[in-house]
Amino acid sequence: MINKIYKELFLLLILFAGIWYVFSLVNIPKSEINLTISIETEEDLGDLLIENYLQNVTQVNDSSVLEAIEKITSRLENELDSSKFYYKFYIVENSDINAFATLGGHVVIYSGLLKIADSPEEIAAVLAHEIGHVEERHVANMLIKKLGVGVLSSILTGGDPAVIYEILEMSISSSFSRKHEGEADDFSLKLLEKANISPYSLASIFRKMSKMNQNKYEKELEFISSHPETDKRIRKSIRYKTKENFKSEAFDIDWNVVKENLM
Amino acid sequence: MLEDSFLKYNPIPQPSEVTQREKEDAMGSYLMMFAAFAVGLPLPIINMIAAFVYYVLNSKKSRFVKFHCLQSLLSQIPTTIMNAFLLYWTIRLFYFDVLNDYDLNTSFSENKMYIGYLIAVIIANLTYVIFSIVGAVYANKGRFYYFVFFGKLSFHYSYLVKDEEKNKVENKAPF
Repeated sequence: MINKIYKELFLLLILFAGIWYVFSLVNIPKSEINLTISIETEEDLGDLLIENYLQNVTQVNDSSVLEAIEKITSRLENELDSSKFYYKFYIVENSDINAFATLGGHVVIYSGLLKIADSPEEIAAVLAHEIGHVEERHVANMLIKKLGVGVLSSILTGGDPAVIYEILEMSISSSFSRKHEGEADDFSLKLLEKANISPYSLASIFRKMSKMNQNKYEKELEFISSHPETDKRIRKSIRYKTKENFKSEAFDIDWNVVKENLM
Repeated sequence: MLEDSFLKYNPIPQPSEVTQREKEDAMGSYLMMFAAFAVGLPLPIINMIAAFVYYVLNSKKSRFVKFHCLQSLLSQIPTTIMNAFLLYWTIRLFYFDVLNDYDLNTSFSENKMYIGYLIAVIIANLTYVIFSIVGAVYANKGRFYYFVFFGKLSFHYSYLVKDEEKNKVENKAPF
């Protein structure tokens, strides 16, 4: 008899697994936020934001650096089939390892990021990722979700400096949802392939950024978080299958000179 | 004496044979564990410790009490494990996403496996609560109520005739 009752335990386990499985398939309705600002409004907002931002930072003006970034971005832009935006790239003096896109196709690159990159291809990978966020309108989506259309549009009609500052802060420090990061990665990998840049560059720069950005807080909590998501993203770009006839073309840039001029 | 093909079980008492004290002790096992369950929700191990202590203190009183205490204790193990794992998963998801600076709401709602598990655990806990209430009511009436699997397992361990009991000397009437 005692053996027979364990069959009931087995059935209970199956039942629990079944309930778990069934409810894992259910789509939970999410309150999707509709984009209610036009491309033109986004561009106007972007112009206003970047104008304010650039007043408080020092831009890198070295011609070799600007020329290198121009070469990288033009190759990427040439491969954008039908871009919604006219992209503008800015290099600012900042030791943080970061690059961010704000509304309207404005992309800011920190000099700290350029310094840790070992090749222009790695920078191209980051920029392709940022372009992905802009093209998919993740920036506008994120800001609308956090602030609402009203607040966002209000800065066009006599913007409050505090609100402008807040939006800029959000653009710089807030990250996107896992889904949006995944979409930007996919966009980036495809764009890099089209531009004849090795998609592995994305994995390479991710690894560096993840290592360098690991702060004390993260180290303390390492036992609880081994960053599987970052690892997953690195693996995805390594496993990305390029077309058979893909051949990477190196940039005509002396990257060491660029880095020296940043020092 | 009840007899299985290989095992022997002690006779089970009828409601009229169960004393009021036994009924209350048996019912208490379910009610006490409810209280411990509520307190222990954030730290599921607490209610297990309380349940175990109650079982140790009461299991020697009578087989009827032992049965109900054991059924309550055993049926609590799976929900405790499930709740503990849910707590671990929630903390892990929370810290992982905070560290990666993701939008927390989106991360939770996008994790379908987590949502599925959360719902399954809620169902399991509700089922446990309902069964325990019924068990407490039955115990208070001096009756048996057998949960799926746990009821039979508890009966087996409470009423099984042990080897030393088989050889026990019995007084017999002269005719």
